[in-house]
This record gives sequence, C-alpha cells and structure tokens, in this order.
Amino acid sequence: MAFINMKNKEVQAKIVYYGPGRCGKTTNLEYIYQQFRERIPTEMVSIKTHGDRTLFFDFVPFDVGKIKGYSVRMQLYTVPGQVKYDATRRLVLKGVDAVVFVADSLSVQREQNLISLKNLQDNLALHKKDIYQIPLIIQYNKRDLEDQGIPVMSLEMMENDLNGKLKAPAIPASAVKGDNVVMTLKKIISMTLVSFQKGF
Amino acid sequence: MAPHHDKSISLMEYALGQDQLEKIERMLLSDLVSSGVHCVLLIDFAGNIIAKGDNGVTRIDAYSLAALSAANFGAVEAMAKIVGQEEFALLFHKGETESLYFSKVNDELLIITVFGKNLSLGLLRMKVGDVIQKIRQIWPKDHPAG
Amino acid sequence: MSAENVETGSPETDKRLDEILISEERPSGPASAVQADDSRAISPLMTLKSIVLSMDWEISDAILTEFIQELGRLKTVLKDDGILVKCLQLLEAIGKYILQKKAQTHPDSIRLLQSIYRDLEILLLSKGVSETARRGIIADEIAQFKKLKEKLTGSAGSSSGDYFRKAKNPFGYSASLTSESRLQAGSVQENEPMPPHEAFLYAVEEIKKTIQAEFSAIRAELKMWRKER
Repeated sequence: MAFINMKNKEVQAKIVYYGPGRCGKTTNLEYIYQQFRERIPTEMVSIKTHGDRTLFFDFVPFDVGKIKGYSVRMQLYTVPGQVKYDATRRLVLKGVDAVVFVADSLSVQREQNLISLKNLQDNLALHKKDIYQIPLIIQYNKRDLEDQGIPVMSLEMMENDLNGKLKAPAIPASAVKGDNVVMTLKKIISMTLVSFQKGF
Repeated sequence: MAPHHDKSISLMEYALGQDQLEKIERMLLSDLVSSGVHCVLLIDFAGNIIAKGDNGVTRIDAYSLAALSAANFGAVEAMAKIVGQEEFALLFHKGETESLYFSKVNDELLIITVFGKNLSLGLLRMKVGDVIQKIRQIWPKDHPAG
Repeated sequence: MSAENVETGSPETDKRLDEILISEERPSGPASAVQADDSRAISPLMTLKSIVLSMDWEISDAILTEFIQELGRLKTVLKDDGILVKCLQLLEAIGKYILQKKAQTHPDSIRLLQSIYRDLEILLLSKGVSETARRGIIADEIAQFKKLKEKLTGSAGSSSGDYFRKAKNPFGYSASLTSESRLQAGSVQENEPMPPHEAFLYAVEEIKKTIQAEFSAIRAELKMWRKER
C-alpha cells in the first residue's frame, strides 16, 4: 500500500506488471527504463534465471515529479509469469496499489492469458484486494506481430475473453517497439493517484 | 497531469505524521548511526521506504535495497513456514566490509541495517531490538499502511 | 620524577605507574604456575570463551550475567596471577557496564572486551611470553580501558557516559561514596551479583587501593634513594 511521507512530502506507490510467461512484462519495464533514464536514479533491478526468465521480479523506481507539492515515486515491479512461480508472485503483490495486466496477443497464448488473469484475481484476494476495485489496466501486447503474419487474436476476442466483466481500460501495445508502453504507464499512474484521492 | 488530479491528495489515513517520522528518524540517527551503523532503512513490506538514516559517507541505492529486502524477507518467511517455523530469528548477511541485518518491527515494518566490521552483530542486535521497541510505541497500532 | 608529579598523573607517568603497579602487584604466583600443564591451561577459559564467542551473535541479560559469574569463578581459580586477575577485573567492569547500559552501550566497549579477552588467552595460554611483555599487554589494555572511560564520561549528555561519570576521577572521588560502595559491594560479592553501578565503584576502589599502595611504595623508595644520595 502506498506510503505518504509527510515530512519529506513524498508519495510512494507500487505498480505491478502481471501476466503469463513471456507476455512482455519485463520488456515493458526495460523500455520505460531506457526512455526515462533521467527519471530513474538507479540501475534496473532484475532477478533472472540463467535462461533470462524473470525468477523473482524486475524493479524500477520511477520518479514522477512533483504533484500538489508532493514528489511522487512509483515503484514498478514485474512478477515471474511462469505458472510454477506462484509463491513469488504472491510476494511481489504484497502492498500493491495498481496492476497492469499484460496479455499476450499470440493466438496460442489464449488459454495462458485466462489462467494468469484468474491467478491475479486469486492472489489479490489473498492480500484482501478486489480485482474489480484496484486500479487495473489491460495491455494487449505484441500487436506488432500481426504485421509479420504471425497469428494473433483480434482485439475484440481478447476483450471478450479478458475484459468482458472487468471493464478495465484496455490498451493495445507493442513493448518491443515501445508502442503505447508509455501510454500504459501514464494511464496507470493517473488511475493510481485518482484512487488515492478517493482514499480507496 | 490530467485535470482530474487537481484535487488535493487526501491521503492522511495512509500517512504517518511529520512528528512521528521525525522522532523515528532522529532515533535511527542517535541510536544506530551514531553507534557505527552505516545506513539504516525502515521499510514496509511493500518495499516503500518509511524512514532512513545514514552516516553521510556510505552511498547505497536505498530504493533497490528496500525492494529487494522486502521481497527477500517475504521469501525467507515463506521458507520458514515450509520447515514449520513461524519465522527465523536471525536474518543476517555477512560481507567482507559491509554486512546486512534484517529485523521485523511488526506486521507492517522491517528494519534493514548496513554496517561494517567495526560493529559486532551482538551489539547491533541489542541496539536494533531497543529501537524496535521504541518504534512500536510510536507507530499507530491500527495503522492501515503496509 | 617527584611524588607530587606522580600524583597529578600525566599520561606518561600514568603508563609508567601502570607498569610498576602490575609488576609489583603479584605477591606470589609466577605465571608459570598456571602454564604448567597444557590440559589445565586450556580448560580454565573454555566456558568464558564460548560466552565471549556467543556475544558476537547475541548479547542478552542472561548471557551477560553468565559472563560476569564466570569471571567471578575465574578470579578465584586464577587468583595467584595478578595480571590475569586484572584482566578479569577489566572484563567484569565492562560486562557490568553493558548489562546496565544495554542498547546504550558504547560500541568501543564491545571491541575492548573482545580485545581484552584475546589478551587474556595470550597471557594465560602462551608459553615463553616474558614478564615484561605480559606487563606491557595488560598496561595497554588498562590504558584502553581508561581511554574508553574518558570517552564515556567526556561525552556529556550521552546516556553512555552516565555510568562512568561518578568514577571520573578514580584517584580522588569522595570518601563517603567509596566507603559506602565498598560496604555494599563487599556484602553483595559473597551472595548475589552486585548492582553494576556498585560493582564498578568497587572495581575502581580496588584499583585505587592498589595504586595508593604503589604510591606509598614509590614514596618510600624515593626517600631511600634520596637518603642514599
């Protein structure tokens, strides 16, 4: 949960990028890290396997700047997507303020998206958080593959599958190319701040 | 920023008062840093830094250390449960020149101390234990953060 | 060097006195008595060593109490060797200080405790260390102890300082305080662990007595020397 430091006038909040394995969560953070190097005072932290898969999480502290006299810092995390790392996903979700669900547009990943979204719902519930209440964005990633003739799902199909009930803001994107990565980030930050104003 | 952010942020219920924070930070300096601790962080289990004190010499990436510590502490706690323990009493990493000691304050907070060879772990634990008692007095019992 | 000079205690004379006082202090017991047999020589410190090692990891009231009790036992066992007893007394004073100050303990006191313990091992277990070297070792530790004490009493306002403040001038504090503490310390010593405050005053008083005795001896020697000339 967000922490407000009244003394230093600082707000810290935690945004977690969630989604199935190889959907592009880490790529999102890497793009942000490259683009906003000057807003990120430190090296990006990645705990990976030897095969370059996320083992625990990636971490980027993102300095949003001053809002209403408060300097706002968003702590961006990814979770490991592979099914077997559920325990570590739950750990990373601890104290989460907002979630970007990164869905994989590849047709073959349809089932994995559904499993991961259900898993997100369950794990949020373990932290007493409601997937319908928490600030959430669905990002339909890898849209660039369509141009290369690789079978991807239509946006309508993905909306039906994943967002029929949730009705969360959804953004098509390509993390590899950087399309809409920053848009996703902006949107989730503004939703997080709005949720603070509502006081949850 | 979008127009709907213009309302003032009303986050009092997640916030710790300035007085309390100052008290805690003063204590971190007077009780730990002055005894030779290089850097001390009070963090919550989400990895946010609540309070910080350092000797002005040791430069560390506090945000990353906080994120990793929170996750690591969670992981170790989960390991403890696997072997039937509520928690492990001692979380300590010894380096050649710098060492790390983690200590749970309550269900929301964790203290990380970075210290060098000149401070014995035994004494550090005693001092941190004392600071934890004091923070528990200051920290509101039903604080919603963390 | 005149007697007056000695009493005002410049650092140089202090050091010299420490050396003299220790050399003269051992009434009988040459160190070799303790070193005679390896198995006997190693055994006395076994318990103390394990306590000191455990203090690296954890310092609690229970551990400190055990530490002080063990020092008390060793003082009896090693009573024939003045240098060793002095070592044990220094450790005891520090142990009691930590027990009282707890989290406010000055970090230097732990370092000094460990250093004195290491020297105690050397003094007790090493064969072939000359008397001069042994005296040098203990004199160094006494000097360190004094330095720490000065640091603690000097840092006004710091809670660590309070403990030693009353004993700021171990050679000249008020008689009523010392006689009272001697009484109390004496009665406590035989039964239960004495309160750290009294215990420290007691230790200081012991040192004071020794030093006064040494002063008298030096004065006597000086007199004789002057007469001879």
